[in-house]
Amino acid sequence: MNTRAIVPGSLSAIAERDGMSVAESFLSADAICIVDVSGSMDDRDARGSQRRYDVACQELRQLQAEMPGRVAVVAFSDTVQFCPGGVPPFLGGSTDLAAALLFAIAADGTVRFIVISDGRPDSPEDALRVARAMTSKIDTIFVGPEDDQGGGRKFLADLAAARGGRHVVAAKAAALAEKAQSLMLTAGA
Amino acid sequence: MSYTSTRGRNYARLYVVGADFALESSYDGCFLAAFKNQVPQEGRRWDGNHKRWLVAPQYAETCAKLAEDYLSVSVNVPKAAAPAAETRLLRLEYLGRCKERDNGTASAFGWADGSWSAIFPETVLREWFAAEPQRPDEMPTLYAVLAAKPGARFDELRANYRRLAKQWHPDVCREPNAAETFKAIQHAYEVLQDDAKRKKYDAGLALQHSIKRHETTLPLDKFESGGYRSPLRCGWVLAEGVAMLGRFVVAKIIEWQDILDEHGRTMVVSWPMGAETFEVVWQ
Repeated sequence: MNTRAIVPGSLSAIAERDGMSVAESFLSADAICIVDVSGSMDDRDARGSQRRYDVACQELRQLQAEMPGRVAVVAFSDTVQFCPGGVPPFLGGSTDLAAALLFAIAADGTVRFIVISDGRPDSPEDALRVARAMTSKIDTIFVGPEDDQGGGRKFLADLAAARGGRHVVAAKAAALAEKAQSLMLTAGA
Repeated sequence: MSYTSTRGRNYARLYVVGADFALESSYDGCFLAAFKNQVPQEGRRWDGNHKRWLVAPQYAETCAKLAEDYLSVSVNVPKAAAPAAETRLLRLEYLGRCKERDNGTASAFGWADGSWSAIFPETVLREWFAAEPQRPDEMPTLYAVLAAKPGARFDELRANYRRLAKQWHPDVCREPNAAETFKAIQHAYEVLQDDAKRKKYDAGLALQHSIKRHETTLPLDKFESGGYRSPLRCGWVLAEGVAMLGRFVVAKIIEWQDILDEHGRTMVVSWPMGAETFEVVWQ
């Protein structure tokens, strides 16, 4: 996956098309997708034995193409990275969601957040504490297996509930774009 | 004090003028070529009125050696006073675009007191106009377009907007990029004067800055240098600096006010494409 690529409809693509900066293209964004790219996203149990990460990237590409300029992408594992080109890099490592929320807090109150993850974060308590301090709605999409054993699905449901958002499941990242789109079409930031 | 030495028809004199040196010599093509080769452009300036070269102090020894080698003239190097920092009020009538100079730094020449007598280093202009160094592929921020710092109060933004809009209005400004610049100023103000849009833009800016931090390890001075154009091109400029080679090199801008005439009209300057000099309009 070329993580330097600029996918159609991404903030960079809009900025390039309209001759503006990425910061200005963010003015049209409705949501920041905070995408888990930790080690577990490397599991090859997604569509056609692909990695969950690869399917998530394909779905994000589709989402941005269908909602041009309306989605910003932030990737996280034990580090956090803004991805204006719309392609999150595979970072591996652990799942520091609290750090990712703190990173995105600069945009709190301006857009909604959609957390896309397949498992429990390193510290669920810290992530919930950061989330409760925010004002934006946080929606969550679980992209792990249906028979989640690790409690990731429950955690994401709790996270969404804590910030008045909705929680949906897109098992192994399938139909992720459709689920994210339906969340974005729900009113309110 | 002046030091003169002659041998045959050749002569060379090196003497102190303010904080600089003046070099007078007999004409010798090889000497002149070597002089121009070894004393960079920012270290010398031809003073046509007195038919002499003004030379920065650090090149005085070089001049003496060249006189020895090419003119066979022995020249003593007098002691020069260190340039003293001073504060001047400049009536700046036109400020050009920053260009990279021989010494690797970028600066813009300013027309003040009837000649191109002021030099504004790009770093000084960027500091005053709150314009961070940019990568070549990066656009100025909306704050930089309005010459404001990101935390600027609304009244500051409005004052800067009015001032810049007056300077760049395509009806009076004939700079080749006037319409484009005016549009950018309007767009920046339209976003930044709206609280919700400004908050969102600030968030976008924070995200954008995170890429800069993530993707580059280059020091700031390695970012784009040269080509910077200050958003104001004229004004009363109170500045600290030093006199060097007959010019005033600005080290810090203290204040920048519009130039008004006796009717309270503001000076607007522009340099139309192909024109030999800049034009002044009062409005």
